[in-house]
Amino acid sequence: MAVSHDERESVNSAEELAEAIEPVVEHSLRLSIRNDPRVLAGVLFPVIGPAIRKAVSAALSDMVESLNRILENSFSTRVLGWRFTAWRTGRPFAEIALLHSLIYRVEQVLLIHRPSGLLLAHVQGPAVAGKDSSAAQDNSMVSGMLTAIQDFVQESFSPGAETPLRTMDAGDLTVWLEQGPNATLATVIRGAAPPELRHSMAGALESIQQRHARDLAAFEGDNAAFERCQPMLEECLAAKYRPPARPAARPLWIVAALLAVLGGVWLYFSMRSANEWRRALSRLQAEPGIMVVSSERAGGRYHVAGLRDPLAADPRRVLAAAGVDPAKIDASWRAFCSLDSAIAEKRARIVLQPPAGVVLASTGGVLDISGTAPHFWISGALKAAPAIPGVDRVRIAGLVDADMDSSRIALESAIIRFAEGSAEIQPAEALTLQGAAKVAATLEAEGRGIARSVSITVLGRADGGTPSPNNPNLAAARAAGVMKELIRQGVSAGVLKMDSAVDARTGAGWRNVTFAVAFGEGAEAGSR
Amino acid sequence: MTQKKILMLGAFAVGKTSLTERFVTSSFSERYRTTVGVRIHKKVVRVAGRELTLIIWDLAGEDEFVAIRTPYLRGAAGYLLVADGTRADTLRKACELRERARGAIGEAPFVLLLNKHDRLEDWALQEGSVAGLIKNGWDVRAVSAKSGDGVEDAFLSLAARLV
Repeated sequence: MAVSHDERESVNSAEELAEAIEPVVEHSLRLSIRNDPRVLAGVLFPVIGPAIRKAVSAALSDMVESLNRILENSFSTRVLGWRFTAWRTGRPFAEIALLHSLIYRVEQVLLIHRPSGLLLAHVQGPAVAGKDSSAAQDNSMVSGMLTAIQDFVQESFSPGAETPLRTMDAGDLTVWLEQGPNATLATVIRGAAPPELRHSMAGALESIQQRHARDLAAFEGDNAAFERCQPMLEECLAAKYRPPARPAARPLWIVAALLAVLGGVWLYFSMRSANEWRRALSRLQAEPGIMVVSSERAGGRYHVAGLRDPLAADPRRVLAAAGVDPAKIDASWRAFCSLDSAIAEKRARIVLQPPAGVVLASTGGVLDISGTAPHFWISGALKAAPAIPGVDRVRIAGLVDADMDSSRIALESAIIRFAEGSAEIQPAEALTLQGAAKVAATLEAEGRGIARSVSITVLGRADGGTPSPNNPNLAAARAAGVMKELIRQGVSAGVLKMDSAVDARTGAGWRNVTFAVAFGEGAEAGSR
Repeated sequence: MTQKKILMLGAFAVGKTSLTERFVTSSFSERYRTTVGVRIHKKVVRVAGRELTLIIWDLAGEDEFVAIRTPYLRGAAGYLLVADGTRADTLRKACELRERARGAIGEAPFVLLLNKHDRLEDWALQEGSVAGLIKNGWDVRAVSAKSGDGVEDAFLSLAARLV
């Protein structure tokens, strides 16, 4: 739009008029307020109400925007890092979050009287205001020090030339200085400010120099006149934050989190299942008669292969008892003959078919047979057992031969009686002696059949009725007579022993010969 | 609020920083620390019923090797010349600096402080030289940064002449 020369002149003269009457108007207002503040308050009431509402609304809006920005990042790893920093430094999380989403923020603006370094006016951003009041109080010293530094740099590096210090860096903060004839504008910036900010500063400083040329020239320490510069300084309190992350990133993040959770669950169950499989396998390997050669867990199924004695436990049942689903087991077994004691014992039980009352126990290749069994079974077992795989030796020390025991009882109950003072075998006793000889011969034969030694003691007795120094000889003669007769009737002399005794009592009951039978421990039949 | 820039001027090691710290923080340290360049302090005082903020530029002392940087003097409303009562040459330096200050900022209120008054037995100033300055209208005060004697009065006296 073209603006005519007259219009421009009109605008210029209006500005000049405004500037000319500004002190008068200000003075009038000050007087009016001093006289009766209610007059102006009444006039301004319709304006102040909406203005306050607007300010409150803007402050709320800022707060909501800050919260939104923080919440948008609440679940990112970056924010977790911020939370850690907040915890470590003891600073509020909101402050850390705002600092990290910050591109730049002008925290303070200082207007400094150039010749004296005195502070003319000062504004600070909301993030700084109220945070550290002592820092705010020191602005007049900061103002002086900035001036001193400027003077130092100017004089040290370019004396005489108008090349003032424009920038200072200190950690996260940068100070930009804009130099006018009588005033310096300093901005304290956090982050990386754009060059446009420099233009804003120059514009603000020019405007201040223009409007307060007389105040600046006549400045003697009273900075009241520069309070009006505050709005211009506030315009330099710019800030810029990073735009929020793309919304598409969040679903991806959630998907990744879900996948991680699912992965964790899968890993947990997979490890648990692997542990169960390991436990089941070790239980299977400890089972007698089973040798696991290979095992594998793949595709939710369990593969196991190896050797198995037909007498061993069912591997499927062993695995099922350890918690493995039998439906998921693929097993491959080849038969073998296990020499394991438990299997050898089982095998012996099948082969020997022990009668009731017989106990078989196998340990380290030795089969112990105990209890009571008929002679024919013992004889057969001793022959068959050494041929059983896993049985190297058979021990029958604890086994009673029922038939031999009957013969022992029969023999030990036989009594050959003698007439007083005689060692002659009476004709009436011949039958008893014959029976005894038969039993003794049978015992000897049976003992030989199971390699169990038999010892028959022939005990001759004499009574004490007729005191005679020959009685001991008589007892011995009786035993010898019976022994001789036994040998004559077919009993081996090797199994017979002779003993004699004289009893103090008197009577026919103490003139006799009896028998005592003893067995050896028995043979150890073995294949070795 | 009204602010005034005032300067601490004097030879090397006369006690400018000690006097400033005594006035600003009511403290004194026996340890000597040389001032590099300038240190700036602030103190709010009450003069003639009004609050006045003194911005005190404590400048590094001057000797034959280091000269005071003239730009630091600009805009000062007044200054305190400091001499060490036990070193006569520091009074001469104070007079020199008075001329330098007058050249840079014109006629401005100032007070001459003769420091280390607590060590009067070591005093080395000639009676005549100080009397001559007083005769010329100088405000001369014997002070002690160590004991604090006369320090606040001297600063307040200068402040009173600034408003």
